Amino acid sequence: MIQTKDITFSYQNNKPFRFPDFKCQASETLLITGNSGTGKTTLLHLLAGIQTPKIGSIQINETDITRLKTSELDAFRGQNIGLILQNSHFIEALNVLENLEMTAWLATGKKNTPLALELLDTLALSDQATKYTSQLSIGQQQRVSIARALITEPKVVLADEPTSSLDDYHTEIVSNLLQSLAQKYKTALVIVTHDARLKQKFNQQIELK
Amino acid sequence: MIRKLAWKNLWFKPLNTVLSVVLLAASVTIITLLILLQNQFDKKFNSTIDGIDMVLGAQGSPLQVILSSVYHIDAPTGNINYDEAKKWMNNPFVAQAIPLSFGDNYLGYKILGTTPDYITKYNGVLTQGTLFTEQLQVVVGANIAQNMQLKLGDTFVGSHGSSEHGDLHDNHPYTIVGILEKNGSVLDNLILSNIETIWEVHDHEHVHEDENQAEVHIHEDHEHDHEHEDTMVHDHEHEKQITAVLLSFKNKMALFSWPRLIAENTKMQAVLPAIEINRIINMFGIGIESLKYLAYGIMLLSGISIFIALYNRLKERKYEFALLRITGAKPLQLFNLVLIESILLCLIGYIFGTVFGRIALYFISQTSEDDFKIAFNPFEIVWQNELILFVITLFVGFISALIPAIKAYKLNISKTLANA
Repeated sequence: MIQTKDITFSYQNNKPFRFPDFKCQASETLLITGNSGTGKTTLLHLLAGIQTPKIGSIQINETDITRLKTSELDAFRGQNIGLILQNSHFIEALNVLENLEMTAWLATGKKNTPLALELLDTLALSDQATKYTSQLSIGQQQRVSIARALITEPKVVLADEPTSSLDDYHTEIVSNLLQSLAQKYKTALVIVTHDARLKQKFNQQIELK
Repeated sequence: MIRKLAWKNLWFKPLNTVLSVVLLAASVTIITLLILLQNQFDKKFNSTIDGIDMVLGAQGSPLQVILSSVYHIDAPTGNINYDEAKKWMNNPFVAQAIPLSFGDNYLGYKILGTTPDYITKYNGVLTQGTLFTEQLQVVVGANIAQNMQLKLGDTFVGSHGSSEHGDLHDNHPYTIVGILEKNGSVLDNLILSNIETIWEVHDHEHVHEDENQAEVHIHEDHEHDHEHEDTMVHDHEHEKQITAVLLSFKNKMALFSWPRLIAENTKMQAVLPAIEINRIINMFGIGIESLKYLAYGIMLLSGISIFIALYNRLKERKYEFALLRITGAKPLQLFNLVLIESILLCLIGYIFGTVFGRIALYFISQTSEDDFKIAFNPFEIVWQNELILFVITLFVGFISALIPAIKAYKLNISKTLANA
């Protein structure tokens, strides 16, 4: 569950962003849309605790992450928030499975190999497990980053333009996967996007202006 | 996991890694080699002069006297009169005096006339046989026995002087009565007899020559000639020659007074081995020092190479690091990651370096044993110096990684992700 209240943020002397309040329950999906420059990525970074808002609160389960110290935030983020980023980046020296294990280890101290294998299976990536991520197609990479977001069994998954680099066919697959996985693993899913194709698929939407 | 990641990162860009490791290994190899060489060289030189306070020898280069009579790696400066030397050897200041007389060689190995004290002085132990008691009996060093496959009772003929191809003394075959155990001292490469043996071999040669001459002379001159021969033999009897005397003193005052006394009153010179060896070690020391600077220069280069490699990789991996951070890595873990990568590099370089250094020493030792009869032990570990080298190597790794590691520590995740 994730809930925001009165968040405002500004880069140095620029005009501040004021974000609408919203709430997203476990197993639900919330779509945040908006044109470029409306602060979509900034909002996502705020939700992920990568940046701190000037005022306002961000509640994830029982914790207000705006009150956490940097080191607490690092740990909290690792354990409770899964991030899917616009461009899939990975640790290039590790293969697909090791990338997942590394993420799990950093968050929880355990590799959680069974879950990693299960996720790869669900995402039809089992036979790519020992390949380097640079050897995968963009669609496959995007699926690996979904697996990586879920490996820590987070309360909230935040996705930044998860489909912007995909064709219609893969957009369909990825959005279905995201939705079904959110339900399966009982996570709240927040997608930040300007992709019109997604707007048709999700009911809960907020538009930034 | 961080260590595993560091390890995998190293081999993800193998060329960068190999370059840094090769540079480091090269410098560590050279330094290790120098450490071992210097240490064993010093030890060898110093242990050989243990208990020798002074050497009496013929006038000439003092260093040559030491090199020839103590280390057996140069020709002697000449001979000294035994009777004259004896006056000094029997002085109450003297604790022990060992006379040395070089005569011949057997296939390049020196035959040294001396007293059994010489063997005791270098802690020689017989594996077989007994010490020499009679003329023409010899005790051979372990290396010679092994290389020439000599055994007790074997006989051989020496050739004159120190050259392998000198005239053969066919009339005086030596008999092996004892074989020494290998102990790493000069004994290993010497053939030892008593002093009288050397005199015997050489005097008789002269006598033979004289006799031959005598036969050519016409009868009337025979009486005169005989007289001449007699005086020759007479001279030899009374003017015994030896090459040098190794002295140790009860009263160290002699160390200061004798060199001048001997120089002023005799045809001999008194040389203090400690001073000469210091000179020679200092001479080598300059070479070793400059090689060391060269090696540390290479190490500096490898440090810079590691720094550049890490720094460039950091730029490439900025996003990767941001990613690690958002998946729960602490800044300190990223700092450690960079540091561990660098230190792993240095460890690998150090391990290769110490191994290669020893392999190099092994080959040097083989050559030097053939050429100078000096062997080095590649398996010796000079703990203190090698530990210092190890710490320096790790320090290089630490310093070269420091700036990249701090950059990784301070990485601004939000900016990095937004600019990706």
